[in-house]
Amino acid sequence: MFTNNLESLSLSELHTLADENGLEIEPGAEKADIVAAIQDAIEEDRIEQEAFQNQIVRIEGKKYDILNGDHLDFSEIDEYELPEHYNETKITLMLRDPAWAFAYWDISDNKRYELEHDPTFEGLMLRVNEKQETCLEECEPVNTFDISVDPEDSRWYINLPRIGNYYCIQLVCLIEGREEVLAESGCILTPAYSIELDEQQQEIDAPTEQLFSAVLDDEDAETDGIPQRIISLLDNEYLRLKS
Amino acid sequence: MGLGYLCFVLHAHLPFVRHPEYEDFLEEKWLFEALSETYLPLLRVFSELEREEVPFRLTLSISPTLISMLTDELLQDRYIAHLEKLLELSEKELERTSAEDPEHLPVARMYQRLYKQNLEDFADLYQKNILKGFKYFQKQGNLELITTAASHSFLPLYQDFPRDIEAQIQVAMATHHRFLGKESAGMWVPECGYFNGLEDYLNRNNLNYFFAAAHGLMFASPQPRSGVYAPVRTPNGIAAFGRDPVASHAVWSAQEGYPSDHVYRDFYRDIGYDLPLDYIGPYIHDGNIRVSTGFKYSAITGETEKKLPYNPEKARAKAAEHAENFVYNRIRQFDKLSEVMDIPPLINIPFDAELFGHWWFEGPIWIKEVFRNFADAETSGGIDMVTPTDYLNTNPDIQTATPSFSSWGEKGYAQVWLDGQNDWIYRHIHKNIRRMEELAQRFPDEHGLKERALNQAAREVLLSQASDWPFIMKTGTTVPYAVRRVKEHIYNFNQIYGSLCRNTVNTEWLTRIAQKNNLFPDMDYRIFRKDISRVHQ
Repeated sequence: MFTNNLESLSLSELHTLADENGLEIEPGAEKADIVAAIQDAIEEDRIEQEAFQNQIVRIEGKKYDILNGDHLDFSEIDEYELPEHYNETKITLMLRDPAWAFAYWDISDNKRYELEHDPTFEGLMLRVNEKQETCLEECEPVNTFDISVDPEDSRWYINLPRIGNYYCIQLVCLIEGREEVLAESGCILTPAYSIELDEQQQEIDAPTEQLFSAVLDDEDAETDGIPQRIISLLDNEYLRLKS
Repeated sequence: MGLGYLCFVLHAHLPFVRHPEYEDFLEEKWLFEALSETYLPLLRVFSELEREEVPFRLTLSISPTLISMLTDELLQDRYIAHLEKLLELSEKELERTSAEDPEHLPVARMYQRLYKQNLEDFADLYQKNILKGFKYFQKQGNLELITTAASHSFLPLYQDFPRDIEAQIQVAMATHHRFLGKESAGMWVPECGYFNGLEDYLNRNNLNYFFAAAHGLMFASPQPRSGVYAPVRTPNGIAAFGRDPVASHAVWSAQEGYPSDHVYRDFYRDIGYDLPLDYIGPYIHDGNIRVSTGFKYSAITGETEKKLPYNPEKARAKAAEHAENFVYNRIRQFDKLSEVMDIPPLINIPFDAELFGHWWFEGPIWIKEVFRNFADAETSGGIDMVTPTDYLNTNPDIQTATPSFSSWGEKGYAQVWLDGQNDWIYRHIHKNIRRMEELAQRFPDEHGLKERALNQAAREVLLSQASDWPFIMKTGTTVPYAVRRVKEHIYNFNQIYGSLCRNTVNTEWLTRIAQKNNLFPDMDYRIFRKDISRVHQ
C-alpha cells in the first residue's frame, strides 16, 4: 500500500531511504525492486512497532495515521535548531517505571574546559544514592552504587534495585583519586507494584482475591494495561490466582 | 438496590495543529477525519437517542487543544472546504462505480450521504461550532463534560515543576469554562498518568475526581477493598475511578475485540492508495502524496489481500449484535461481582473517543445500541448509567487510599513517553519551563507588548509538552512532524526569552507566531510566578 508514494521518488531518494532502513541495495538494482524492498521493510517495521504496543496505544496511534503507516517526509526539519547543551552544570532524574529511571545532565562550558585540560582528571561517574524515608541532605543513603560514564555522555537509563525507596543521583568527577560532586538531582520514589496487605493480613482474603482475579484472569486484559512482571508477581508471590 | 453502576467515558483529544502559513496542511486532516467520522456521527447518535426518548448518560472529556481547534474560524472554514472537496469526489465516485465498479456503488452512495449530512450538520445546524451540540446535551443532562491538561501533557514527567502542572490545569479550566459554559467537575488525566501528589493540584483547582489505570488503583495504599469496582478517595478527598480492563477488553482487544469482526469496514484500504494518480490526484496531498480520502470500500474480511466489498447493512446489524452481547456480558459481570462485594459495583469503561467512527467506523452505531440495550429495564436488570459526579452524589462514603504511579500506556508507566526515541525532548522542555519561571519572576506584572510576548512564551512552553509528540516519536507515525513541532515550540520560546532578555521584542515576528499558535485566550503568564497560586478566579 506504500508503493505509489515510493514510486514518485527519484532513484537517489530511494537509495537514501533504503540506507535509512538499513537495506543493502545491489548496484544497478531496478527501481521496482528497491521500491519493493523498502515497502517490505516499512511494513515489517510497522508490524513490529505495533506488536510492542498495547491496544490502547495502537488505537491512539490511528488518530495520526493518515498515510497508512507510511511516514515518508523529506522536508527539512532543521529550521528550528536547538542548542546542543545549556551552559550549566545540572543533573535531572526522572522515574520511568518501578524499575527504571532516566537521567540527563549537562556540564557548563567552563567546567568542561577545566576538566578537559586537567591532566589529573580521571573520569566521570553517576552515583546513585538509595534512601529510605526522606530525601533530606542529612539522610544518609542506605545503599549506593556508581556507574562510569564517558565525558561525551549526557543521558543514562538506570535500573533501580528496590521499590518503595527514594533515589537521587550525583554527577561526580574523579580528579587524582579525589571525588568532586558536580551536580545532584532531586529525589524520586519508586512506587509499589504489588497489592498492599494490611499489617495483620498474611494473605489476600478470598472475596478480594476473587475481585482481583476478575480483572487479572483475562489474559489479554492483563497484558493490555499491566506489566507482565507485575502479573507474575501477583500470581506467584501474592495471589496465586491461577493455581 | 440495582445490579450496579456503569460509567461510560469518552476522551476526545487531538493536539493543536493549525498552519495558516500553508494553504493545505496534511496533519490538519487529523481534525477533519475525526470531525467526519467521530464527532459529528456521535452528535447524531445523541440526537437519535433523544428523538427515540432513550435515556443516556456519559462522561465526555474534550481537551483544551481540541476545543481551540473546533472554535477556530480558519479551521472551521477549511473543514467546510474539505467536505466540499469530498462531495465533489463522491460525485465522481458515483459515476466511476456505476460504470466500472458496481459492487461498490451502494457504499459510494453511503459516503455521499455521510458527507452531505456532515456538511449540513456542521454548517447549518451547528453553524461551524460543534461544541454547541455538546453543550446542548450537557444542558439536557445527557453529558458530563470535563477537561484534561491544557496541552495534554503526560504530567508524571513534569513532577519537578509544580508551577507548570498548575498552569496546565488552570489554563485547561479557564478554556473549558469559556467555551463550554460550566466548570469542569473532574479531570481526564492525560494517558491516565497518575503520580503521587497529583491530587493536591486537582484539589486546589476544585476538581473532584480523575480516572486512573486499573493497576494504579489495585496497587493503591491501603489495599482497595473493591478492586477497580469502586472509586477510592485520596487523603485530600479527590476520587480516583479505576478503569475496568475486563469490560474494556471486549472493545479494545486486537484479536477478539468487536472492531476486528470481518464484516466491519476495513480501516486501511482506501481509494487514496488504490486508484490511479490522474484520477485521485486532486483529492490527495499536493496531487501526488497518497493519503486516506475516507472512501473505503472493503470489509475487514480476514488475513487476506482479497477483501470483500463492505456491506453497511450487515455491519450495522453486527454492531447491534455486538452491543447486545456487550450488555449481556456486563450483566453477567455485575452478577459475578455482586457475589463478592458488599456494595453495588461500579464498572468504569473509558475509551478514546476517536476509536468510535474513525478507527471503528461502526463504533457510533454500537454506542447507540449499547444505550438502547441498557435503557431497556428488562434487559439491563437495573444498571444505572452514571457519571462520576452522579456516583459520588449517591455514594459519598468511599474508601480512602492513595493510588500508585501508573498510566494506561504500554507496560503501564511512562515507557511510551520516556524512551530512547523521545527522551531528548525533556532536556529542552524542562529548561524552558525553568526559563519561563525566571521570566515570570523578572517581569512580574507587565502590560502591552511585553505582556503579549510573555503570554505567547507561556503558550509555547505548554504546547511543547503535548503527550502526542513523544507518543508519535515512540510509535512511529509522522515522526518528522512531531519532531518539528517540539523543536518549533522550543525555538519560539527561546526567541521570546532571548528578545526579552535583550529588551528588543520583534513585534512583527511575535504577531505572526501569536496569530499562528492562537489558542488559550485566557493565558496569563503570571501563572508561572512562584508567589501566585491562582490567576483565574
